[in-house]
Amino acid sequence: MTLAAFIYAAMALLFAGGGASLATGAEDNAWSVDKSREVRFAIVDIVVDSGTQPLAAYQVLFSAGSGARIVGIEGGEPNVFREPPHYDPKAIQGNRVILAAFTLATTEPLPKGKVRVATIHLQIQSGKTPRHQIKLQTAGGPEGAPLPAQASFSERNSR
Amino acid sequence: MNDTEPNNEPSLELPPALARRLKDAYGRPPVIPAELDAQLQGEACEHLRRPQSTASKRLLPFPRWLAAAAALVAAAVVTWAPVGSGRKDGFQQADLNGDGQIDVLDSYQFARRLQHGDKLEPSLDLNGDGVVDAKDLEILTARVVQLGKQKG
Amino acid sequence: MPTEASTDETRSDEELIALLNQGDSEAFEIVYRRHRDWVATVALRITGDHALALDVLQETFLYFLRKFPGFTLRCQLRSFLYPAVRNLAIAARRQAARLQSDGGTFPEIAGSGHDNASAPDRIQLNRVVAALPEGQREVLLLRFADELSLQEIAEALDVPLGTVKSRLHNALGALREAPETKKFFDE
Repeated sequence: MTLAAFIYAAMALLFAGGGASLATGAEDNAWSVDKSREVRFAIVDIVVDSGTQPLAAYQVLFSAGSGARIVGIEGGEPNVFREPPHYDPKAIQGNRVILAAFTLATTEPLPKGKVRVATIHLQIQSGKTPRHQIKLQTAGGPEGAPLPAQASFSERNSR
Repeated sequence: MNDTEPNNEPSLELPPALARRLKDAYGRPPVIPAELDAQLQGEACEHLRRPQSTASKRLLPFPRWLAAAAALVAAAVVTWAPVGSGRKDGFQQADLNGDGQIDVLDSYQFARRLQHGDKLEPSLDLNGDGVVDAKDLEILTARVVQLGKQKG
Repeated sequence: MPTEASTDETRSDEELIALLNQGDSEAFEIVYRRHRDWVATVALRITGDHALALDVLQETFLYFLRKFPGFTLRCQLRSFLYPAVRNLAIAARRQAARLQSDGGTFPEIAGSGHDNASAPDRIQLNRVVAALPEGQREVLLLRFADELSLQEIAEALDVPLGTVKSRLHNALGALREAPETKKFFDE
């Protein structure tokens, strides 16, 4: 009985002391992949809708939702906004960014309507479905006058 | 590839056969004539042999720690210069369209005026180098997108 | 000029640059020999033209040379050279395009004689790679054709490491899905 009690006590101590490291392979969680740390990348297209007016400049504030962080920023679709916009480098690895760009192009027409002006790459924690927000801070036409425009975004894929 | 660097994430690797194919297709140099090598080497000898008059020689020697301290002070002044709304942080002269905001439309006006060769106000010499140019535009645009100064 | 380059491969780029700052032209030769082929490869890839690529090669190293004395290398040398090669190559291609009728599309793979793939295979691969967005294509080729590390690519493109990974991730996804290259992933 004494030996059995000792064995039981020893086993109890082992479990209490974080016995995962001594568990069998099937229960050895220390070596299994931590699913909570897996991430996925998402691409978010930033769109400014200038209606019927040509768009020459824009400035938006994008806030990524909880569980997401900004890892990259690229330009958009039309040639005039193909270069990455201006942004604060501190935005990378954070969840807020102000994007701003303008074009002085004279050799091609300015885009109108829904214009994909930029692309933001996000890293999102597994299991999270962050709710992003965007706010248009200003937009301007070729003479620099403010335009009544709207900003929106859409997630391209979630791989 | 440098094996000591964290490049071997499985999701960022190519199957070896495809990697080889890419390397074969896109990673081979053109034939480079020996004359081009010789010409460049000649240019190098010529350039490197010239007296180093452009080497920076300090007029007054000063210790590195003093230079570092001066740089820190300058950085502190720039970083902690009073910032508030767009009007009161020392950039108000950059409100080129007079709408009370410092934003991309001001950068745009600045850029247009530079492009047209307009004479710009000396107050737009944001870096204090005596010239109003694209470097000042960069400073203004960096300020426009700077986080933490604007209310969402 | 000696016909055989001094192949002192034990000295690092940093050491050679220190010697260059002191006016050592032999150090330039070593640096040139070490990076010449890679610069020419990138130049050819972007310009699509052998002669233009050689011009760009020359301009790139002249640009590098003009940095001395007083140059400080703050990253890997290829990360420093890449923007110069790219910009010079793009400018050269644009200029050539202005003199011709066709625009600047991504060039077909130049037959290097080293590629053992058949012509149809080469064309298929080129099609898939050419269809990638420019940012993804650039990262893909810097990584697997030029064998730059992810950090070197980030420095060369002046983007965060996360952006490089994201672009590469998406490029690989596209290759995985394209019918022409899917088979490589299924093996």
